[in-house]
Amino acid sequence: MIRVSKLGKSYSGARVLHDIDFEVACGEFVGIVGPNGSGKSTLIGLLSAVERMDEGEIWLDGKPLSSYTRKSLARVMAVLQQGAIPPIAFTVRDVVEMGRYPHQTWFGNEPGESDALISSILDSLGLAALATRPVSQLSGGERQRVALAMTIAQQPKVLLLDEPTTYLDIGHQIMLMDRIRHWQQETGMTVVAVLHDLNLASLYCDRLVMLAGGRIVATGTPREIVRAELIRKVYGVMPTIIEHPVGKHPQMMLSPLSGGMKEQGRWH
Amino acid sequence: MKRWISLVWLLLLFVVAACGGNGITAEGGSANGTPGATENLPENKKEGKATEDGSSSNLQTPGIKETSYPLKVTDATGFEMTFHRAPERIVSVSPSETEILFALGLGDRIYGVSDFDNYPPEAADKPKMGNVIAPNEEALIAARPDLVIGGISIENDVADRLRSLGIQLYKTEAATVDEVLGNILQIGLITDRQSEAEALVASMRADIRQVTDVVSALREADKRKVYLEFSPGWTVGKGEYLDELITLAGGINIAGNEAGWIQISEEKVILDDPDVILYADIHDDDSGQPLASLIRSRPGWSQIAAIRNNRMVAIDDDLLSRPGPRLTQGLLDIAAAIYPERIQR
Amino acid sequence: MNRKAVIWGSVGLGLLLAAIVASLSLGSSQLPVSESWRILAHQVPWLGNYIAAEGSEAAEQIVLQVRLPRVLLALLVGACLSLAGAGFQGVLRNPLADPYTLGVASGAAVGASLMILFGLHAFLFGQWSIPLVAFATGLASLAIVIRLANVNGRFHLETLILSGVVVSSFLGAIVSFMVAMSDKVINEIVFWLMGSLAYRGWPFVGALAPYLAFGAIVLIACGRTLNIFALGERQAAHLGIRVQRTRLLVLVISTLMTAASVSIVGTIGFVGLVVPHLVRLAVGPDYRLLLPLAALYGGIYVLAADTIARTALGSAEIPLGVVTACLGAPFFVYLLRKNKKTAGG
Repeated sequence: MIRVSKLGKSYSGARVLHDIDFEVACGEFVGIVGPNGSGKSTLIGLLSAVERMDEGEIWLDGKPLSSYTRKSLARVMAVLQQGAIPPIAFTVRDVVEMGRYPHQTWFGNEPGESDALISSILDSLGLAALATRPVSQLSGGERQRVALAMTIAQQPKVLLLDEPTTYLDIGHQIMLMDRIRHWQQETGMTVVAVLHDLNLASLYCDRLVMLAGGRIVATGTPREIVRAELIRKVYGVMPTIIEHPVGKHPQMMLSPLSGGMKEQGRWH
Repeated sequence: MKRWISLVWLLLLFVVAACGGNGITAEGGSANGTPGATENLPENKKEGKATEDGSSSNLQTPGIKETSYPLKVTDATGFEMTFHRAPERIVSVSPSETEILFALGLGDRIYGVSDFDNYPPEAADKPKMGNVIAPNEEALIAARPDLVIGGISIENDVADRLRSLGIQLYKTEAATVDEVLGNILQIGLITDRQSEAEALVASMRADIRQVTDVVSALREADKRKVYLEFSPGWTVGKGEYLDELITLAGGINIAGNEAGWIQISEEKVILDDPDVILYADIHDDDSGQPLASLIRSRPGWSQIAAIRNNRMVAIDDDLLSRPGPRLTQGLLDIAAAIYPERIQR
Repeated sequence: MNRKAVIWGSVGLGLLLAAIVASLSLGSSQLPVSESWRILAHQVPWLGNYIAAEGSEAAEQIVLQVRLPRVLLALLVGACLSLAGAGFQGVLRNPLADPYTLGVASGAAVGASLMILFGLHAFLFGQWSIPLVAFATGLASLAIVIRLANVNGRFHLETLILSGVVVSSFLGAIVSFMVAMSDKVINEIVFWLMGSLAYRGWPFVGALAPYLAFGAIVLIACGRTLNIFALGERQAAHLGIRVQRTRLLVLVISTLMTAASVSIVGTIGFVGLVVPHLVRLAVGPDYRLLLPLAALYGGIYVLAADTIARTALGSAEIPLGVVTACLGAPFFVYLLRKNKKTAGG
């Protein structure tokens, strides 16, 4: 579905991404992980064509990314950002309906019934009661749910996630990722997610791509990536890796650097 | 462009005055485009065609100069207009022209004046037409005038608009004493009050002569330096009638090297050290003080000759700011202020 | 259709009708209301046959050449400025954005001041000289602002607004300089800056109408797009909107409408800022409703202000910018307080 070849990007002379090569197959759930400043967000920006690449090529569904117009791209690809919906005065339903924009004609009409679709999306995300409330009156977690509803309404074939769980508590984090996976499994959508939480990535992704310093340092299944030695090399901390008691996914546990739980309150 | 035209008009005036002697006849100076130029259309000149409203445009009374209509005139904007009879409903949005109209005995034909008209006192009772730059369109139309006289503040865009509304606008722009006199005669011509106009001009010339006679006896060294402040912070240079008045009155205008209306340089006035300071008897809007106090209180000015010797004289603001019938009153006041020992008022 | 839209739309149309009726019936010449409406009714093609053309020519002139075009011009200007304001607020996502933000008004002011300072409105195109030049300089300043904000072919919001503020300040300083240099004691430039609908007439109605028509069509068509802009520019791009292009289009069209209005009537403030906010308070953030209603209420606002400006003081006129500020400022204060509670739209 997505093929990236020799991708490179610089900002004002500073190189942010270098020689990025990878592929994402249709229906895959790929996670992009790595430390701060490794170029993850830039990669999403390039994949969604809001940033221009300096070198390399990207293919989407067999066609070069540059061949898509803004709107035709939006029919195929949706992006869920962190804090996606600002506290604006539009109602929940209004915002979700904005997700239909790429499929609407110039007059705002579209073939088929969108009202029913939107209602079902609101129901499935538990937003039906909030449908007529202005988004500004919702909490951050609720707003991110609305953002998700909006991207579902967009009915994309590819979903890009850019650290969507930021600002969410653990309950909302799991709820969000679960919904996304559920949606993905229902529709066979391809997902590329930038996640900073390795444990979350391990639970939900089929494959991980590890970035560091603007380059890919490893790709593979979570089992292959979430390993102590690799994490120490990339992040500079030594984790303890255990197997999740239920799903057998590798999970990471951290210890304070100064060693010994007795030294509380000290921070290096 | 306008300056050039004024010069030609001035020249014409002198030529005709020199040759004609008794004033300006309707036949004089009909060069095309010259403001104030007039033309009598030949057909109606001396034939006994009575007009419908019975106006006596063609009955020549011996001894009294009458205007023959139709009369074509060109105003200060270069616009040509024709009068078929003496105007009966006149509006003046220029205070100096209002004074002229009253002086010519046309008070009962005036149907509108500007918000600033206050002389003679009857003028203040006339319907108000707005300000002098852009008078109120509705009020003007409602007054149904057959002549609207505008002054120097009417710009071409305002004139165009008023004319497009069907208003017969005649703009005057007098920058010299002779132009003011010419203006009076022109208005007298248009309104068929030529004798009154000529009498007024004659008396104004007499005033001027009264001053120039006294002044001609002065030697150059005796002439006094004058500084005139007609508005807080403003004086006047050459090319304007106020400067001419000072010169006629035998004074030396310390701002006379520059042209037009000038914002004063406080230091320059100290350097020039005028003997006499003339000022308009008004209050400064910003400080609320009378202009005299404002002038006296300027730093460094207390050493100026005029202030040291207490030669600061107030002049009636209207006399300074209106190029109308009382201009020569202003001249006399100025002359008396500069040379009180030679001219008394 | 949205219930709010129907309610506020009907209220708006009712207010519009009332404002037009009131404005056409009032004026400094105090024509009897029946006479005004008789004259108007006579102009309506079919109805006119049943209504006799009574009343003087003066009354007809006043109603058809002074009041009617002025009423229409007020509606056009109000609609243009409000639409432009709403467009700016939508695309800059800033509730304080207003059509003057990108330097248009200051640019137009420079052009007008130049014309007035050098007395050029005599020479070029009569009543069109100032508007044409002001329009050109208004657009030139927009071009400069855009050029300054251009970073490798892309415009960042903050840079655009900053560049607009800088250019506005600079041009404002130039205008102040010209005001100071003006050698006339009565300051025409200041009057132009304060705004006025007097002395315009039908030609200007014809000149501004196409801008409103074109601008309204383009902006209202961008209604849905502007709604999505509220999500943020990145998110809007993800939904398929060509952000740079749309932003430029809305800004340029809004600026064109503003430049056209300002060049004709001078700088009137508060319309582009206050009206869209008031409408938003009433009908919510949906630009598909906001834009047409802003145009409607903007027209009513300026018409009401202008009617007050020309009737409150008899034959004197209050500058329009003063009235819009006096009406607008209290509303703005109210808005600021209300804004603390609700989020910006």
